[in-house]
Amino acid sequence: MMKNKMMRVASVLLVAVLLSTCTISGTFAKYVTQNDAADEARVAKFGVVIQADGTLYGKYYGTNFKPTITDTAANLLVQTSDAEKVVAPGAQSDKGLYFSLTGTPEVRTKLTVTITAENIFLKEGTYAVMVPATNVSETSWNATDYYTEADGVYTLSASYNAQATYYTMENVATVADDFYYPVVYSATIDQFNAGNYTADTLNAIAAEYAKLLNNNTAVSGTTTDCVTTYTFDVTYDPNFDYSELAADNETITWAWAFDGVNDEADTILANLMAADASELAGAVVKVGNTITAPALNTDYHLETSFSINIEVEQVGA
Amino acid sequence: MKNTNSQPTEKKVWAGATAGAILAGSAASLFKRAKNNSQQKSKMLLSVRKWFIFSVIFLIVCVLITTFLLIGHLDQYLYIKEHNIEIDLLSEPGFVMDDGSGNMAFSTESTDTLFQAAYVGADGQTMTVVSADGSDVVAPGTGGEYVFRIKNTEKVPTIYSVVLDGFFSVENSEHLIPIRVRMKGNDGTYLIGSETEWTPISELKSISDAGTLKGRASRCYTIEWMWPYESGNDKLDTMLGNGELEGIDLPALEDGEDLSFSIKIETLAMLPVDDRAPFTAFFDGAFPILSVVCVALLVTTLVIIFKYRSVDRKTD
Repeated sequence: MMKNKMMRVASVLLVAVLLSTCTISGTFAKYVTQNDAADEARVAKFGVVIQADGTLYGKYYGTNFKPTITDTAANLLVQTSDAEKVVAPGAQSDKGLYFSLTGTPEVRTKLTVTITAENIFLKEGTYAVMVPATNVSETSWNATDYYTEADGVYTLSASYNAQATYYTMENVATVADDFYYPVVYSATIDQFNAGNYTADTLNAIAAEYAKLLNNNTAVSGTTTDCVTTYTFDVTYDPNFDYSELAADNETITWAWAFDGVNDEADTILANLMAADASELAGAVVKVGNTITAPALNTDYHLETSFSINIEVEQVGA
Repeated sequence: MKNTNSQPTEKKVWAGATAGAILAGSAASLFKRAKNNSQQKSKMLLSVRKWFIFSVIFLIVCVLITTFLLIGHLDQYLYIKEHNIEIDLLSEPGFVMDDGSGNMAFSTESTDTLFQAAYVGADGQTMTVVSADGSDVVAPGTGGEYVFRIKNTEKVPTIYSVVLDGFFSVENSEHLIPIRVRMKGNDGTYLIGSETEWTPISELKSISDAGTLKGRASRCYTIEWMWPYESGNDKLDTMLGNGELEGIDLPALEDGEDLSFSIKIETLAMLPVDDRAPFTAFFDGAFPILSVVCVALLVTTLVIIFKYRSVDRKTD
């Protein structure tokens, strides 16, 4: 009896050992665990858009007095004899010059602007054209109309000299205001009135654009040979909206009125332009204490131009 | 990973079987020598009884030990079964990858990140890049460094591997985009790049590190990236910033789609059978032998008893 019980106990233990051995072997299987992590970022937006289009001047002007690209003489009211673009009384720009600055970059940026402007003017005073007189005789000569020239200075001749070259003073023009700016510019800057021919409208517009792009802070310009330059740079923080400068969709146009008001001054300027081009039209003089040629860039300026250069670049601290 | 323990286990089983056969043969020869000697027969009966009792006690101890070990692993086993996980894959991490502060790497809880929504300049104060929508961004002049830690939370050594990858949302663009990377291992040596050299992100794919972590040990890695402020190609940088990918022979982005950059870290950890703690390793190595020896002892004892009983009956 006792032996049977022991046998049973032994048998049970045998089975228990076998079972536990199998089970524990299975739970000692190889454990594997995986893990992964990732991080992502997008490229920060730049998105600054600078647009510039159009033109102000032309080599040819058609019947509408606006620049045209035609290269034939027919139907042209103004055309230049050389490669340079010109302006003339009665002419005007067509669509003008357009520029725009927009965008909201997510990076810190520096805006660099350079604006240059120069305008045609005739300074206050009396101007005339000294035209060489022909067929002057002792009988036709008089002491009030005939001038002689010596070293660039014209004086009324006191007596008749058959060997002398006499000049008469023609196309007398008087500029009563400080300056006469025949080319009047206009711009689409909000609530800005550039003025009329008595003011340098182009320079005023250039100064206004500089102020706008400088975050509404005035910029001092430097002038050399009647060319005024505004140059500055300003740094803006990330996410600055450039359209806040109100310099988007800006257009500049011009017109040289042919209205009979300043015809004499326009003629003087035209003669000065002709003299520059070495065309014999008669020397222009300024009538003051002496009668001499007017000084370039002081009494007059014969060129007009406008340029704007805008650059936006990402900067660090 | 291949189980390198299979052959040693078979050897242990064969060794145990041999030892058991030797013991069984010795016990059988002892019985044979004594069966015709009545005095020796009495002594042998007594030693057989003692031998039998010893075997029973030994088997009881083995059952208790195996039961104890079984309970230790039963909860994990049941977890695996409940979650339909294969027997050799745990979802409960015994191996974690975090940012060193206990937060999972790249998780929303982690205070350190590889990328940021805003960056400051060299003066440490001036904001140079700020995301408009709060999402992380990269830009020329930005960079980042991230230290992540892999930690073995088990008590036993663990084999691990770490694999990295860097890629852009537009395929096949890694060679065009000027972001550079480098990475340091736990001992400070560079896995790619160097103190003075940055490498293209395409080389991230070549990074893999592997080794064994002791129980409760951890290992840190540092990954750095940068987009040079002066990459030598401002036009390219500008096109990327404007999303003008057509200019660099890449497919155009869809409306609202951004060009994004990602870095991914994958870790794999394995609990090798051979490298477990000495306590369990002992049972792992010795248990097959003990099991076979125990079985051989019990079978031998039972054979002797049966033989003795038949001899006894004949004698009686």
